[in-house]
Amino acid sequence: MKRILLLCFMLVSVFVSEVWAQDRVVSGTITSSDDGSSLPGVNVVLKGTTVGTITDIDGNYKISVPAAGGTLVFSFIGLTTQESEIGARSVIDVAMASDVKQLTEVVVTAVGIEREKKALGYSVANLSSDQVSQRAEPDPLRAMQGKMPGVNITGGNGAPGSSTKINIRGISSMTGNSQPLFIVDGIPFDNSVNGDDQPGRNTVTSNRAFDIDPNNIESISILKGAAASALYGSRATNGVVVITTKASKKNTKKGMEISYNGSVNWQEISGIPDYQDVYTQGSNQVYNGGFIGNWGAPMPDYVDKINAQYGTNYKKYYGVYPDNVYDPVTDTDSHPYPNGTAPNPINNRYPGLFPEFVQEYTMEDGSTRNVSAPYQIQPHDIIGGFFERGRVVENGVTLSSGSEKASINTGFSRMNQEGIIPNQTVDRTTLFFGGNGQLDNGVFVSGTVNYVNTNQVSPQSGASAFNDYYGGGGGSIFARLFYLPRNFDLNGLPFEHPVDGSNIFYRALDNPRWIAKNNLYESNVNRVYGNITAGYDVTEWFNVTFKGGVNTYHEFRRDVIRPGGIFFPTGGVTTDDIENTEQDYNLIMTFSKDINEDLSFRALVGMNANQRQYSRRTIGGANVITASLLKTNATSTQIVARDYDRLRRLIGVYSDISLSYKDFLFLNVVGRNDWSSTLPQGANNYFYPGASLSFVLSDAVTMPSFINFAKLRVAQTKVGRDADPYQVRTVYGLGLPIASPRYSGTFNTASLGNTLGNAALKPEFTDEFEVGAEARVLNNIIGLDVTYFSRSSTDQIASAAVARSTGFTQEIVNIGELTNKGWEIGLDVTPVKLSNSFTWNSYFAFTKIKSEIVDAGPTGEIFIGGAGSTFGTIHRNGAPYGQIFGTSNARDDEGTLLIDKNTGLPFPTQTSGIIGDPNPDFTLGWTNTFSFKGVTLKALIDWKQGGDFYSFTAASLMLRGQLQNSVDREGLRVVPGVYGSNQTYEAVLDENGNKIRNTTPITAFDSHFSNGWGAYGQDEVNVYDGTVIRLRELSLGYSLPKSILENTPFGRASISLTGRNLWFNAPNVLEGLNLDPEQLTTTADSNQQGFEYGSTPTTRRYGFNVSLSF
Amino acid sequence: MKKLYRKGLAAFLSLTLLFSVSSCDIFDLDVNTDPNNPSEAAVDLLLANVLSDMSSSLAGGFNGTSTGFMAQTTASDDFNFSNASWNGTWNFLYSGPLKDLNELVLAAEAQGNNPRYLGIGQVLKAYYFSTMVDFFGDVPYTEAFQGDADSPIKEPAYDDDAAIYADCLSLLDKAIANFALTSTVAVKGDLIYNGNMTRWRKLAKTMKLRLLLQTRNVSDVAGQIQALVTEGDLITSSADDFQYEFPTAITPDFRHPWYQAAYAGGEAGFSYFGHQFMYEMLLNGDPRFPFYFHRQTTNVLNPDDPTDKQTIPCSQRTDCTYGYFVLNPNITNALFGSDPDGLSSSEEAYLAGIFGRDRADPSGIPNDNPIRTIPGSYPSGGVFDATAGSGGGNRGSSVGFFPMLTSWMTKFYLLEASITLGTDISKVAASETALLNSALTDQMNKVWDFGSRGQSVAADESTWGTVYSWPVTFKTRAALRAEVIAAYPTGGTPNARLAYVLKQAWFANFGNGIEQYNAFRRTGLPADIQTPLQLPRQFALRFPYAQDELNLNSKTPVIIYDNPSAAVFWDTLKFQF
Repeated sequence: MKRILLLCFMLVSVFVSEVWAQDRVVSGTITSSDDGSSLPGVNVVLKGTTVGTITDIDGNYKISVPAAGGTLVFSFIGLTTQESEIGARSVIDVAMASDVKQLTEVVVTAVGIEREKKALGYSVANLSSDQVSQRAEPDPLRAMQGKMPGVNITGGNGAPGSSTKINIRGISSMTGNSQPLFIVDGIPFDNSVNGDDQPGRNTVTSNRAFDIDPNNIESISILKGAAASALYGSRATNGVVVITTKASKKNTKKGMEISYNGSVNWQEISGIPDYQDVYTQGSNQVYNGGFIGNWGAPMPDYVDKINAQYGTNYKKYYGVYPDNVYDPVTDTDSHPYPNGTAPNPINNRYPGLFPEFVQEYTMEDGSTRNVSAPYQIQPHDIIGGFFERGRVVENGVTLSSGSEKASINTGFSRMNQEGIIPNQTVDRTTLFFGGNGQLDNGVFVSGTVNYVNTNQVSPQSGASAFNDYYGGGGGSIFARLFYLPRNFDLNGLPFEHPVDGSNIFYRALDNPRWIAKNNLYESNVNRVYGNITAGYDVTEWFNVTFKGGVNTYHEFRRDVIRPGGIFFPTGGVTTDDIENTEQDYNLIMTFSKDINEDLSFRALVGMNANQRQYSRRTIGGANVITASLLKTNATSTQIVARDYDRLRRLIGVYSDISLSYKDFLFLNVVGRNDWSSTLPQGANNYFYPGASLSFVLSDAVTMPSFINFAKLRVAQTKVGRDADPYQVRTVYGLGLPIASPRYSGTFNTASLGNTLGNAALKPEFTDEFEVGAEARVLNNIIGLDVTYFSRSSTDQIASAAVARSTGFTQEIVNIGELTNKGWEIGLDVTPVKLSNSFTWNSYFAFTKIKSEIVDAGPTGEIFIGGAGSTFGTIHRNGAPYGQIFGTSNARDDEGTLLIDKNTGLPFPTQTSGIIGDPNPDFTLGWTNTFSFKGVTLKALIDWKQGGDFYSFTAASLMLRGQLQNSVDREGLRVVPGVYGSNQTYEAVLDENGNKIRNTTPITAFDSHFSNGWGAYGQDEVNVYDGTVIRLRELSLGYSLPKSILENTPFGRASISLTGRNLWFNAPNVLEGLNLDPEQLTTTADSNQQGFEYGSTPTTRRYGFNVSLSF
Repeated sequence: MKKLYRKGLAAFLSLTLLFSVSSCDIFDLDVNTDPNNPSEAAVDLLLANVLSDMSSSLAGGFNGTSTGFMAQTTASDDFNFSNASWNGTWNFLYSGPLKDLNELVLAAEAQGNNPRYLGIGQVLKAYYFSTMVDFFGDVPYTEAFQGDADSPIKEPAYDDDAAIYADCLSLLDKAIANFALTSTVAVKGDLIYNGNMTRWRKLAKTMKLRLLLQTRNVSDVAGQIQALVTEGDLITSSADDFQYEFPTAITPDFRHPWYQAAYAGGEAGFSYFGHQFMYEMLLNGDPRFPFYFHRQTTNVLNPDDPTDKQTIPCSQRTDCTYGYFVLNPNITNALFGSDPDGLSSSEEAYLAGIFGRDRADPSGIPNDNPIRTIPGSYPSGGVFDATAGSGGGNRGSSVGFFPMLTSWMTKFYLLEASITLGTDISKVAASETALLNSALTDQMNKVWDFGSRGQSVAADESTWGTVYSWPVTFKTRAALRAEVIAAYPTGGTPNARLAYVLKQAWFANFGNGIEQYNAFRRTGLPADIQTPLQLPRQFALRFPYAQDELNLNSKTPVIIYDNPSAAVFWDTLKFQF
């Protein structure tokens, strides 16, 4: 907390009054009663006058006071104000205690304004350094999960560095970016994914906020609503995440402090399905060594049992030799393979390639033949053998040093993570330097510079609906890994050709082990960001501050497919160069004046200029010349697939006026006008205002003694937002040239673009009303912070689908309305607080948001897309945001399934519809902290209620007969339903006009195959409720007491054990699937939601941290 | 003094900062012109794009499915569609090549004095939209492509299918008039005729013949057809054929869709050929067989082996007519005069490679990709079936083409006109048999021409018996034709003659299912195609509309595609099984 207190130093210094000559001088030192450290920046005022001063960096002050009498008032935001009668003393030392009434005293709001929390008419969430660092989580966003009401964070998957989605107060854009603005050290921080938005291959791609090391974060403020964020302008619609890094820490202890943080964590796959190990691969209860599915004969160990139970006649062998003769009368084979074996599946496909898989067989006639050697049929732990134990290692050193007028912070940190599949790593190295000081001429300057290097490597392991569906995922490990035959020994059989290294597998697919070894995606990011601030108090009530900064990164990607595989036999190399540079400047003038004792006034006028420049060049090389050189210039064909540039600018003028009355009533009025380059010229400026009010009830009136604090707040604000660039005009696109085999030369091509530009594009607006209350009662044992918000986003700039018969696929429009209404509740309870220092604190962060598409434009809906052209995410009038759209089975008027009499199976309706709502009903993060004499036990339980998702993994596992729930398959079954017609889509009636109950029996195999319940059935059958409860964080920490550290060089030392995602339970997902519903379909910048396509599973992590300071 | 100093400093500071910021371009907001895409495109670029994209769609989904309807492949041979089935194709066509074609016509009109591009655009529009009508019935036409018009139309009306056909005919007349005008603009981007206006003119007239014949059951077209024949300016020579030849480059892969399926991957991914089609060609000793089909295996699957048993065609049915050729006594006796166990090893090995499916066999898909019969060298540019060999691996020449309107098609049209309308064809051929002979000659020569490119093929089929070790004796082209002509029911009823001609057209139009599907709905011929083993739905009289179109355009009619009420206007037969 003291760090936050210290942050106020600069703010307070603005108000410093001059010291007038008086009769005598009193001096003293102000210290903290918590730890005895000196407190700089404390206000010292002679009561009833405007005479005052502040303490210097060592906590010393000197003040001239009248010759006799008088009282000194010592105040500091966040500390209990103290009064002390001077009497005859000339030295008055004071120890100031924390004001427990103020949980977080000062918060950073828009454009870096630091304000008392109680003055805010809106909700702002804060996290301090220790809430995000050393949490066994190298992703700064995931480190925040579950800790703040109103903030929804979803990790993509378990691949190190994979992207994370963050949404604040719902999603306010139907087709555009829904990610909040990131501000790091006062400068916007690009958080793009730069993905291709394909549901197929590479969701391992990072979002660039990953470049922030959580261990370098000093504090985070989340500006949730429009009222809080409006001053940031156009990009603030989705909220703002304001991060202050350690580099820009404003003040430090005198002298030098070195601190070290280190941690090691291990990670494992969070859950694997409950596989059945009773049946082999094949279909119709017959073993087939070439199949994917597991509908074959029973495994040898189960043959006797099943034969006895069902009267079946399964054999214990799974193949016959070439001279075999089958006798149908006796049901016997003359030359079967040995019991428990089948012909070796690898030799079946590559005869003779592996001599150990070949058997010389002597035929009945005495001749010999090479056949596949017997291969033991038994279940294998495919998944468990494939995944590895990953590791996260973090090390960081920070140096800080302060003197009377200046301080510097510098340090470096390094994170290295190994994933749970081979060759999946990410590392991140950060160097930073920051400093600030007061120049001799009174100008205050500060600046920071950060350098980050992030490197990511992963095999092709993106989300991938497997090949049979949409063809996109063929190159990914997860296209097949979870659905391999139970009797296939993935980890024991060879995966690469012993001579040329090409792919070896039992059928024409890429072997996951071959992919993991050869087909690697890598990304190398170099990022630099920094800022300079200069401020000057022109007069005691007028300050001018200039802030400017730049944030730039270059990302180089290389995506390699080695030749010799199936997905892309000739191999290919794609390189991608991405560069993004953002410049941002602010000139801020602040006027502050106490009008009288009761009324004070502050006005801020600012101007902002912003430029974002982006370029990306992609070269695709196909047909690798030699597998020993995987570069684009070593391919036989190269295509420049992308040479893209983008530039946008924005100029804004803004103002923030605050009035406070008697320190219990606060009014804040904001307004901003923007000029954007992305809107049509001449109509590119727009204004948006807002106002908020805070009323501290407990300061205004006398409250009952059990109420320690009570505050009401209300705000109404509007935020405008501009468009993405280049949406004003319809353009042509150049196509790939065509070489005609008939006529010489190359024919170049062009096509009129598919997106209709809009020359009358307007900015979109979000109007938000929020009202809230904060209270602390019963001696601060219970603290409650409740917010209700209602936001409406209108004139959405959307790319809306149009009927293709117009000639276009979509148009850029200002359409409709999207509303988000919700409750955010933060409840802080301290049920136990004993005198022996044992404390139990419980914090609940509850969020409930209901979105509604009020108007999705003229067609009433926007189809966002997904796995197919009629299967994906849709926005439809009257429904919540982003519904799952797909096919369903035909039903009668009572909702009973209609069954085709011939097949015994349901049949689809002709038209797709909404089949699920992926939005959660509510989320609840529950943090429990137990502390006792330096030992702290912390547990964060995260509960997400509701939120449907379509699971390709479940669909595939069911289709393939992999799960334990499909073991019962010997008998026939009847699908409950009535006979129906696929012409009329109504029930077929008998002669009496009654519906006819389905009695057509089907096998378990049919039931899971075509038109049944597996992946080949209708989309709706694979939609599950994604309710999940998890133990997100668990940590046990111990801070060594001062008494022990006294004789060591350490000022502080602590050690902790941490665990992450140790347990989860998703009760409504297919039994035995054990799949973590927290997986994204695509990258975080996509508007698609509610799809799980199979990607790197989430992980469970545990380890320990050490933190030392000298 | 101190105050003055402060104020001066502040002013200086502010001005310096402001100036340093404003002196760069950061205040210039006029930067919203897309630097990545052109704002205009020349008509030749549009033309090349239209031809490439449209041909891929026609030769891909449309051709594949209608070939499946006609039992030559198994694509959609159960006729089971939903509104999702053609969503992607519809969306692509309307927002892609059809729109660009419309742009091309508009640009050529706006430029004035550009009759050649305009005429080409009109002919293509007639072909593409009459084809859209053939597949979808009523489609957006007059109000289509106006999303960017000054008064944009966001929900185009559906034009009556007959009216679209009528307009297509008038477009062809306009095109013929345009081709007669002189123009100084040289045509580029013409992947079909490379700017040869005579050929475009012949195409326009032959296209008229095609559309008129298609509507012969609902309109009196005899006079117009007779006039076209008498004029004698039709495509009757292969040199004038309207056909699209696919590029052979691997990257970008614009190769023939069948080639991509069968040869582009690590192994073949082609679906299945229809058994009846392959069987009848073998039975006829048709020398086109090794051009049409390529066998991948010579190994006979063992029905006593549990794995093989499931891989064998028709493994889950008992009612297949053809089943597994090599083990089906009916087949082996018909072809080789012996039971399966009496086959010679070369006969056995040969038949093992004939691995397709009976019509609409619903058996599951086993791991038989390396076994299935795949397309040969004609028309997709695969491998001539000299010996059995694996697909995949970019084998073959990849010189694939899609025949859209060829001289043999013209001749088949004229045969139908002669038989059903009494058209006088003497301008083209002396008799129906002469015309049939001429049609088959043109087609077979095309098979030899394309099917031999980049391959080692013994061009003289009379030497095949010594060059190749096939156990099947293929007739020579001339011998087969002579046989076909000899059996022509010259004195027979028009129905018998038409049935005979269209059966021959069925073999000849391999590679263009659209022609076959149209002819079948027009005539019900050939009538002897195997009945599907399963019929979850009726014969598709057309395609269902696209899901997106239903969602986004309220004017989209609601139809059931296999219901007689949905038949296209020229379809008076409304075939049902």
